[in-house]
Amino acid sequence: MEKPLQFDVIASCSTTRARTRNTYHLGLRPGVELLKKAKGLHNFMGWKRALLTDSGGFQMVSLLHMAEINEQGVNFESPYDGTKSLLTPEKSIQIQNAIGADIIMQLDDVVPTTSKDNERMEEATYRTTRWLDRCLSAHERPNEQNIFPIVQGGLIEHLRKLSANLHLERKVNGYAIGGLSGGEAKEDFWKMVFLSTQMLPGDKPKYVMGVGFAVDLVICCALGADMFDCVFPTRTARFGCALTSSGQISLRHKKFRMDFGPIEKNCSCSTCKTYTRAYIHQIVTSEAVSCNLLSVHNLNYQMQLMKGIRESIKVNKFPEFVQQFMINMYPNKNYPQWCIDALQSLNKTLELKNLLRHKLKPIHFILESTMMYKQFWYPLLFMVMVLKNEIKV
Amino acid sequence: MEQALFSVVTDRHNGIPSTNGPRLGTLKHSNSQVDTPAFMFYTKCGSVPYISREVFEKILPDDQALFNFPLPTCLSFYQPLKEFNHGLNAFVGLEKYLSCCSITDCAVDNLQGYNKKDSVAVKTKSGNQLINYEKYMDIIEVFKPTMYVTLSISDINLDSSPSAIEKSVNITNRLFKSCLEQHHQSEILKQSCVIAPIQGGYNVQERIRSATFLSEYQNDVLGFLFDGFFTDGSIVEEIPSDLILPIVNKTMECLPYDKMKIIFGAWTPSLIIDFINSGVDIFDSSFPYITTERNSALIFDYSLKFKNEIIIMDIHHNKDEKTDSSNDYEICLTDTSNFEKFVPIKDSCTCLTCKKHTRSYIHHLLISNELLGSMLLTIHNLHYFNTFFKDIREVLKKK
Ligand SMILES: [Zn+2]
Ligand SMILES: [Zn+2]
Repeated sequence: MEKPLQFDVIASCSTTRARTRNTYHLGLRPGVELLKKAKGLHNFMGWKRALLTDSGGFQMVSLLHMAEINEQGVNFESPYDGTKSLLTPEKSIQIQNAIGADIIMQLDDVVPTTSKDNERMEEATYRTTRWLDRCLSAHERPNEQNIFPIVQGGLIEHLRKLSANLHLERKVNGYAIGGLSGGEAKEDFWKMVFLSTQMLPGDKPKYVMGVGFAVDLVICCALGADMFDCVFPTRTARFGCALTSSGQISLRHKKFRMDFGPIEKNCSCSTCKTYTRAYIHQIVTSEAVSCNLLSVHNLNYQMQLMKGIRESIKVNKFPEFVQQFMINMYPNKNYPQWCIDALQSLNKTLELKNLLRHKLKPIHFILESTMMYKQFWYPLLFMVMVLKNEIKV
Repeated sequence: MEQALFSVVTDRHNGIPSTNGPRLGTLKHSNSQVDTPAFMFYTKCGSVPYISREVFEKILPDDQALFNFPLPTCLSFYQPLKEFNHGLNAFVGLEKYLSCCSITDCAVDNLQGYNKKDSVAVKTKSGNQLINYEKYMDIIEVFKPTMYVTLSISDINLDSSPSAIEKSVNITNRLFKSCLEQHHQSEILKQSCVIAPIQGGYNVQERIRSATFLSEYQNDVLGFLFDGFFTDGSIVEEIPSDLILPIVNKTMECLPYDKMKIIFGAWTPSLIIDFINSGVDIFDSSFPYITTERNSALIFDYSLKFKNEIIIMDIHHNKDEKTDSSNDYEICLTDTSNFEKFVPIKDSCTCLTCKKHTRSYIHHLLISNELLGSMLLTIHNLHYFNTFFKDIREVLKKK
């Protein structure tokens, strides 16, 4: 791994859909100016480890119906006070330079994954690369911050290949695979991930954006991905869901009313050591603290999962790990077809061992802010933060 | 296990017991000890709002603590607890700490006028429930708290009619006797202590009547609760001290010296000092909770001294801190003046929030509706309130 990238811990920033109003409320304040005065996001949050920020493009498009994209950038109207703004690739990098995260994302041209408009998809694929070049030349801190290009192309095979090929010509330290996890079929999802990871260099980290479920994560690792974000464990916690080795459970369900066991037996997290499912069931819809309890557990679950993957790779036992994981998750062996397909394709096209040999340690990083206090309780754990609130366009 | 025990350690009257006057005390229960004057931690549904057990231990790493569990917020635990069979503390993840069950949620607006005869209306998530003393004592047997307030009619405030006040005293006294009888018959409750709730609104005669009646049972109780002063917990700070203090003082004279005296509610720090000077031993953390709920942080500078047998508190006003939305005790973190303040809430504060985070960041979190903002504020406010009580005890220790 080339310098400035340090992959021990990475945190990231993103927005949450539930908080649009506040996001834009703040978005219109001088967020970047504030961060400059605060000497960057690390200082603002009191966070000493690595950070990752997103470009804001995805958030603009997915949160604002009035967003409109042209060659210049993303035009949008604030629902807060109606002012019009333009987020250009240059502006996005300028903001991310001010924030000072270790990994920053290029501004990409976002088209909904399931869009049937192939022409638009093709335009977006080329534009994303043009914007990448504008981002790279606008980058003022190349020795401290790494821009990741985003491989686009929707679900169209030749566009994916094209996008990856175009990006390969640029000098960067890692790649993101975007435009997925947007409601597409899992069949399409894994194929696009695999296509992208095969195209991209084996010695650079590959980040699949927006992946959530544990199964997706394990399969993506098998397919050659290295980094994931952690929106999912904290977001699902907010809905009262807990992740366990046998799948996700909703603690709102009344079957947990008399369940005096922990969320997961043998879990090392502080929630499982102290609280029962029955108690969390009682507070899950009413008390804010339930969010924290579930986030602590879910983050611990995801981190243990990643650790398990890393360790199995180290000792050359990743296939066994996947096997055991799948059996735990699907005790009746009713494995989803797409998982079977994905894993079988690995056997056909490549020796799994070969694929993994070049693999970097899978890195897990975390989006969102509910669990941020973790940073001073356990400095080694990942942390979470919302970035979009800082963006002023 | 034995029952909890309260004892007065020292008062300032050179050995001549007097109920009116500040004093140091201890509440002991097996290996736990809480020094008084102290406060109970206010809980909702079994947890300090925003704070898990893990975080709580960071706020009070070594200290013992006493938690108050208002019935309306945890009545729904009854069924699972009955099956669980290890009591409320274990269920909510707070074993090793002391607990108190009480009837009203003193930090919110409570029901008024829904009580029927000797049944008390409890407002829960799933609607109002009428609780009679038999049901109540059944609940207490299942909850197994260190101490509990007996069932009472306390929906009285400044506007209550004399007849409503009289009724609340009559019924509460009756319920007290019934609960006490049940208590003595219960094997399970041998480890739990009884707190007697004094009613009487703002009527001195009724207060004295209530206190005199309950004092006859002083050997059966751990302490007394000054109850029934308000129905809406969010406006307690506005109750004028000259209305409530004479009542508390007069009532105190009718109570046995060596028993614990409790008052719940978000009284201002200045009134808390007055109450301590009147002989009150235990409060609750409604005040820091309500402060957090309005996105504010306690920052008041104070000095305490002991003079003429009472504690005197001077509050130093800081001109720089005065904003429109703040009162003498706090600053509002959602106020835009904090937007660029890269300083801790309070320089001298040693809490986790102040050691690590700036006002600007907390402002940002609160404006963005992030739970972390309220969590950081709670950590600070509880720490500040706890320090305030430590300082009070220190002043009383210095002879
Ligand atoms: Zn756990
Ligand atoms: Zn503090």
